Amino acid sequence: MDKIHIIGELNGLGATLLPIMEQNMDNPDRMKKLRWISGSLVATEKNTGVAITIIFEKGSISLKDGPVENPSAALWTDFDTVAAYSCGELNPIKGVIQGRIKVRGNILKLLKMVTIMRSD
Amino acid sequence: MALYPSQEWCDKWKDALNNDPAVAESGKNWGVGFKGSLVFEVSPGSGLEKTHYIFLDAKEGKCLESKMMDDAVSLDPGFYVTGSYGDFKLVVKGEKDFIEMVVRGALKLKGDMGKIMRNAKFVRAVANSISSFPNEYLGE
Repeated sequence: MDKIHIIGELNGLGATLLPIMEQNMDNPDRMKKLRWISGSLVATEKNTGVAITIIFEKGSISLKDGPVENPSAALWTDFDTVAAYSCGELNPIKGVIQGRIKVRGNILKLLKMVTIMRSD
Repeated sequence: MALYPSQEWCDKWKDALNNDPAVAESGKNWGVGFKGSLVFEVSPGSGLEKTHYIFLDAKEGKCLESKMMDDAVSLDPGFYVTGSYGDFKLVVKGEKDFIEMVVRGALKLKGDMGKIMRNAKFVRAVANSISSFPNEYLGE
């Protein structure tokens, strides 16, 4: 994999997560799980309604502003929970059970795709 | 009351930060092994006539320095925040949340986002301290 493809102009959520995603592209261990995934993940910051879509297509990753229709998976959460997950403080399954993260779609795929947001 | 932005306001913000237990507690790791300084570039509008720069240096939960700068050329901060005076004013007044403004893209935050994620509670505490004292504003 090389770099994240940006589709259109990114909102603040996308711009915040982009550098973390780019760092992960250089992490072979992290990318191992993502290399063969195809699908899309919509992540919405629930306090603002700001959403991004991360599109995985067997070896390439794209990031776009806003949601897409019929994503493979979607999640809704607040920025603090994104931060806690990103730095490894929060197990995402625990986050779902605690109601801090709401999810929809293919959860197994979501759990793989969301690792692109890890910064630890 | 201090005028935002002014050196008097910077001094009050420094005092507020250094008297806030949430800042001290959540910022223990801030600036350790990385530059914990921030520059806020406030662009004109809503009563502000020219771009202002506010430099804030923090380490281990303490504010080391808070000052107005003429420009950002000589600075090499760890983090850089840009936005209009109108948008910053909403945060300083406590009408809008700093993180919300960043997520919406009204304020743009540059720097190591991994550090921001690991210190999100500190960033929120620092932002909350901005609105913890009364101020006067240009254009009102």
